[in-house]
Amino acid sequence: MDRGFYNEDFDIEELIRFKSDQFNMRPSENVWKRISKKIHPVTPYLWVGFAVLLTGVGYFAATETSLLYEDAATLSHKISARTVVASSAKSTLLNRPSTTSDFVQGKELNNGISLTLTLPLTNRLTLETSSSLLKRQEVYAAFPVNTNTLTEIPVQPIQETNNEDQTYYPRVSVYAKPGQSLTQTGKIEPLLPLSIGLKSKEDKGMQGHEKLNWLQEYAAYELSLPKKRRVNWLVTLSPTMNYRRLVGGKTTELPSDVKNGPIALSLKGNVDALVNHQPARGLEMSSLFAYTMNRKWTFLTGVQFNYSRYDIKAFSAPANEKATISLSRYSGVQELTSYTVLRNFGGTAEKTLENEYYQVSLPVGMQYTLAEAGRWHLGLSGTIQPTYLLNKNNYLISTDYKNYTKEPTLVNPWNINTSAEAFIAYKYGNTRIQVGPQFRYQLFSSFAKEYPVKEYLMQYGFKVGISRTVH
Amino acid sequence: MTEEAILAGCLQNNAPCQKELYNRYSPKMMAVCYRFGQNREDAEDMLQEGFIKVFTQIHTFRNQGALEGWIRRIIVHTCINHLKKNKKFKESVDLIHANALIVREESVPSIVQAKQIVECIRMLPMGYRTVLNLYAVEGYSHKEIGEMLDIEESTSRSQYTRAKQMLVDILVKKNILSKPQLQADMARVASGR
Repeated sequence: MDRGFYNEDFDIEELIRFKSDQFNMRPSENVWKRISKKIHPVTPYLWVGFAVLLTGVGYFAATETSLLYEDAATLSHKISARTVVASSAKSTLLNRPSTTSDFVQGKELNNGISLTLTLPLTNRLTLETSSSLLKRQEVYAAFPVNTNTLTEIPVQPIQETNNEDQTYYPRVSVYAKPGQSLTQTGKIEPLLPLSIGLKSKEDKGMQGHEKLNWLQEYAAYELSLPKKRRVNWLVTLSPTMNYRRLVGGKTTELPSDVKNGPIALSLKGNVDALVNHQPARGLEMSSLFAYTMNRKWTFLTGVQFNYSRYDIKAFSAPANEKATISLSRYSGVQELTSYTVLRNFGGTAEKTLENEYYQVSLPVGMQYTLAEAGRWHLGLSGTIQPTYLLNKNNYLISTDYKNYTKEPTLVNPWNINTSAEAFIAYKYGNTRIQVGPQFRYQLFSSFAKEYPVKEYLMQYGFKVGISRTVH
Repeated sequence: MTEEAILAGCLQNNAPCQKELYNRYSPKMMAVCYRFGQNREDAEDMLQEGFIKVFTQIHTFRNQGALEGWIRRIIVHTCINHLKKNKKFKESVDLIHANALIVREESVPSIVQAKQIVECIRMLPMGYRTVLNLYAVEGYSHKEIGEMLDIEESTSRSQYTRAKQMLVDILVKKNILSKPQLQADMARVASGR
């Protein structure tokens, strides 16, 4: 074998070291991109979460504000899904546009809605509406022809029924007195409003002509509303207090060789008692769709963003120390080693570590209405949330409980959380505001199953939500 | 940018400073990972994992020694942990009869001699290669190697002896040891002692 210049006097090790140090190699561009995404992961997701919340708040604010400034016609139409109505009246003969005296006014009573539709008295009238649900019809003024008399028909409130499946059709009827002349004979002087009451709920099976017959040709037209809208968009915000429960390891005493510094602890017990951790504040935001199945049950699903955090009291070590994590695998015990200056017991100075979790979830669950009293509702809600963790830079404790270190490969990106909440809600029109406490618990450990210490996150908070009927 | 400025920026989680640190040390650290890994993709995975640890643990750097040495130690430990997790290492350490190693002509590039040496090192079985890298290149003692790889110190010594002999055989078979430049390097290294 030709060994060239190689002989016993020559140290191949030095050659290997010399040549290896000369050798450099450029990694591909994707490596830095992946590193950058890992160490700066959250900002875009946090801004997306805020954008979703602000969009929802802005949408609600814009629609509610616009209600104050639209004309009465549209205003009345939007007061309630059950409200019909004719938005304004004008004289076709004069092509007079709507004035402020032609208005529709609605108010909600205890158990329903009353509506007053006022029309000019003596003219041949055309009911118009901005709603595409209503058709333009000619109707006749009814009741006293004296232009100076204001006639108001008492209004019967629309009654709620106990049968939540029954579709609901309130109507407006305008009818004329037989024999009354409806032709305009002269200048319209001041027009006095004729109030027309909103009739109470009637049998939905009756046809239009039957209703006309019923009023003995008084009724001109009856208007009906579409079915009840069932889909609501719910946006919630909840400040939370976050904590964790640690399980695992055997009951153990303080390791005998632990280094005590100026500040030291002496603990006995399981792992939860061997670490010093404290709750910290977090935040939850969600955008959900709620489908009203019936008066009691509502199905929920959507997207949720959680920021959770807890603090760990640790100590600084004077120099880097070896941190060992023993993993239980099928093939046996494997050890991961790293170096750290963070101790669990005693050190030169106290140090607070923050373990932060940024999570995105898809909650799926149900809401149950316990009780109703007018616009007030009392309910319960529960969801199951498949969850994805966006960051993995959390501190783990070494398996001898002496040090803290980071090992992203042992952090589970996927998990399942459950939540339960109670709330009180107030509803006006299509909008509902709800507030109440909530509790969230993580079902599986944050860490890989090989790591002997199990961590279960939990949080409680006070949730505020706004929902609006969208379909 | 000075190293102090880069370090200060990285402590503030400043992205440009982190990129500068990465650009300065990634070529050398990639070479470290390449010597340990099965292939380039493996090496890039280890490099990525290692630098993430560097940036998340930068606050633990105590200015005791060079920054490059501290980064290199993290990268080496990451490589070892990666090999252990993927179970590539355990089988190789048990391989003590690797006499039938076949060196093909095309398996060693003839471009740069440093790369040639590295490629010859990578031809060794994983266990031999790891012990050789840790002892001869990275400068760990056999005791430290034993703790890192969960083997006895004597096993580390015997693995290293066999690895060195096998590497010499490869270098000789490829005539790398007889190349003029390499001969000059060897003479320079010898005269430097």
